[in-house]
Amino acid sequence: MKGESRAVVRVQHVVKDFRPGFGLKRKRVLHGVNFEVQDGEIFGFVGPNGAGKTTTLKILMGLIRPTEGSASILGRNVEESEFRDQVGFLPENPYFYPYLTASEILNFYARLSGVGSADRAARVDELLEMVNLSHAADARLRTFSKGMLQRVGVAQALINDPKVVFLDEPMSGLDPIGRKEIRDVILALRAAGKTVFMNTHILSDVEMICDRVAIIVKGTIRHQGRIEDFLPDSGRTTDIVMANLPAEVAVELTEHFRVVMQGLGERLELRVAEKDVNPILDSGISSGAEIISVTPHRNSLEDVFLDAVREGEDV
Amino acid sequence: MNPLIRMHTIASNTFREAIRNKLLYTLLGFGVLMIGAGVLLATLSYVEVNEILQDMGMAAIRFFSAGIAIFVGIGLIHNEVDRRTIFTILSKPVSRTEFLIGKWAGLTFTVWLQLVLMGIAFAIVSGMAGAPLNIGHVMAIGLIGLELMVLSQSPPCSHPSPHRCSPPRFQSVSG
Repeated sequence: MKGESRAVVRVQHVVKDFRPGFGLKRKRVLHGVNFEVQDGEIFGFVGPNGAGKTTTLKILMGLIRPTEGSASILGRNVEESEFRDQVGFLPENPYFYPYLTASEILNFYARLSGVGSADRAARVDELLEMVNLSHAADARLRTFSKGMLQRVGVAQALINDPKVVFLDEPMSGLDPIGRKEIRDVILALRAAGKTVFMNTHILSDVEMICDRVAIIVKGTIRHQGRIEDFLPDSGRTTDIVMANLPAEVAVELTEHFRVVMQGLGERLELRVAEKDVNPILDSGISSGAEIISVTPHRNSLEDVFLDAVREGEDV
Repeated sequence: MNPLIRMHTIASNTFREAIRNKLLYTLLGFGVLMIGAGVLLATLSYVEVNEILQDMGMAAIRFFSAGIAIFVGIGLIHNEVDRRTIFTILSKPVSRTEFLIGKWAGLTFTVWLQLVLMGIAFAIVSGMAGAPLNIGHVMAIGLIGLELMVLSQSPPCSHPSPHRCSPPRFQSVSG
């Protein structure tokens, strides 16, 4: 319907307290987290270690209860279990029963997910093919490398052909080829109309495949929005590396322009706004400095992420 | 979707996991050894030799079966939480009750299987010693089986980490 929100995942004012040890003192790890994931998008949920990403994901998976607030998936309260045949989940560093083979573990999850016996074998074969593990279908999981286990984890998350997939650090432990393969799987899921929620530390992957992103720091969402909104053209800067720049000229430059200076031995690296590049180069050349390099620098998600972390630490 | 299929799946897997536990075979081995040792103990007496032999056998069956139910069962839930395999299971349409019942059923089947094996050892030792067997012995072993069913529910329901998954607070699986 026109104008209707297509939110598939909704997290509203979620607060989570833990009680470390046996004391009465509670530690708050989520401070009123709010976000929505729209139908058919890849949503990146990024934050430093201990920010509350995995806690949020555990609440969404119904593994823990929020202290306050609510969360829903496909319009259903996350504490229900019946609708989970439409949800896939890959935990961080997944571990499986080592005595089962890849094919057996997928059959196990297929049975738990309610995949019919008629479709089960074909679905298992299809997923093993998708994650490039067909050759190891009958090998025990105890013989698998970390990357292979991660791929089994991705396969089990998709066993029930879910509408929404939650991935906790899906690229963890994978080599560059494995990462590319998982990226391709995630993009294929979006192409098939699925919604993907991804917790990750790897910002380059987020920039590459996510439609929208939320940055969480110390249990609070600092930024959220479309990837393009995080990377404004107005924020473009240029890195200039000079040698033998006289000290008085360096002081003069910092007074007249907005320059971030960093000493690199006898060299000096200056991060300057794009519009100030020419006058700064002129000043440098006229004072006898040697220009080593001029590198245009586009604000990356990493910069936004680092700023958000600093802001979070200041609060 | 049929909850029985899900519980059966968890129970089958629990059984597969339990029969890989070395402790099971250690306790089973000691149990069989104690049943056999009844023959030696019976020779110390001039009267009621058969009764001493069979009482000793029944006591060994009961003691070691309980040991297996407790010590094998205690790791079943703990390992699921510790290795975080429980996360992938509970993210499927499996309720916590189904998970616990599946675990209990798998453990019960495992202890019943070892009970049958000890029962066979008891029958062999009694037969070799010439002690008569009757329906009372079968009933006694059957009642031990019932007792083990009750005992098997205690390890899944008394996980050592209360913050994680003892059933009353099972909703607060924390990490």
